[in-house]
Amino acid sequence: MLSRLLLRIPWGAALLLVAGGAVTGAVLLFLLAGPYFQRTYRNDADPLAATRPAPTTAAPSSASGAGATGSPVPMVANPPPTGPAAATAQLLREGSFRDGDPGHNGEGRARLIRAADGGYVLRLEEFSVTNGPDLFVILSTDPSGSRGSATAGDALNLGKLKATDGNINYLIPEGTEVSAFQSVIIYCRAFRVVFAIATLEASS
Amino acid sequence: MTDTNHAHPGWRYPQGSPLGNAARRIPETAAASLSAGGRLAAAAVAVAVVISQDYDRTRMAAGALAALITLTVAPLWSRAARSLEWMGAGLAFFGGAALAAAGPAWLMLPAGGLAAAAIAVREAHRRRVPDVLAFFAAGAVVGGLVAVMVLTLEG
Repeated sequence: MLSRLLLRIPWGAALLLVAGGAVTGAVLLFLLAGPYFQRTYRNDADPLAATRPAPTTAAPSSASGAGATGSPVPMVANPPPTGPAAATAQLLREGSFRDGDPGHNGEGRARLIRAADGGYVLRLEEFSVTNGPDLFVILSTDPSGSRGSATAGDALNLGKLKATDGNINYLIPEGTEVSAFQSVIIYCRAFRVVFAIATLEASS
Repeated sequence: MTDTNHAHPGWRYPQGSPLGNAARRIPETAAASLSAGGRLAAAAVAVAVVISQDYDRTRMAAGALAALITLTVAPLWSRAARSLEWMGAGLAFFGGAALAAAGPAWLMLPAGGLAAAAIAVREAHRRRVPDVLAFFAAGAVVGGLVAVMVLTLEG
């Protein structure tokens, strides 16, 4: 039927219609379906790392040199700053990601951190999510992270998802009242689908 | 000037289009070889994607596309062969678009386009109306395949 319709119009126009339709279909599939078959990785520095004791192994000074014996002694590299004036990053709240709408899976942790410089950072840690088109990271005031809350007026869009896997930081705009936010939603704006949710709870 | 279209009895196939005339200058045997060759090349690329990629969802989709495209080359259904040819080219073209970012999968797209052009040349030789509907239906099949992969395989 489509072929007959095409035969009723000039051949040049028919060719343009078919070629245009094919290219449009291919571009749509690339943009909308393509992301489901891609993985991307990112590893941002942990804002809390400077304040965490990071045990390293180092030989004691008395055991240096060839043939020295003795067990390695754990030492703390870059000890956290101490004293009342020292500014340290602090984990405020965190939660584990769970699956969103059917067929859309997420895992890892969401951590709300006050950085050493006083700013706020949302960190997705050991994070992995089903890839998809037009994905955004949303801070929501709804603990359940429902679909509607992702687009509610009080939700905060932190920007496009930077990668499907890894450790990813998002700066929260200055002046944001972070205590209002109860969940993190990975949300597909194009199809209004929730890919993953993490409910934020007070850090122990 | 018109000619009877064998695929649609009673339908008169318009003649004299420069495109049809140009197509008929290409040997039909060459077009037949390019049609099958393009689809087989696309299926081979899909197999290469299965081997080279480590993401299960991509591998499953590429494997399914390789199988479907290969089926359209096999002379199994004589009555549906013509539509299957077009669908095979469409599966390669649209499947290549959907998987374009996965290694060599983008090569399926030109292979499918080449196969479609070759099938159109054969249709011109046989004075048949190109079954472009089957070609575009393949896009819907690819879309359905993506939906099945997304809903059944954990990503």
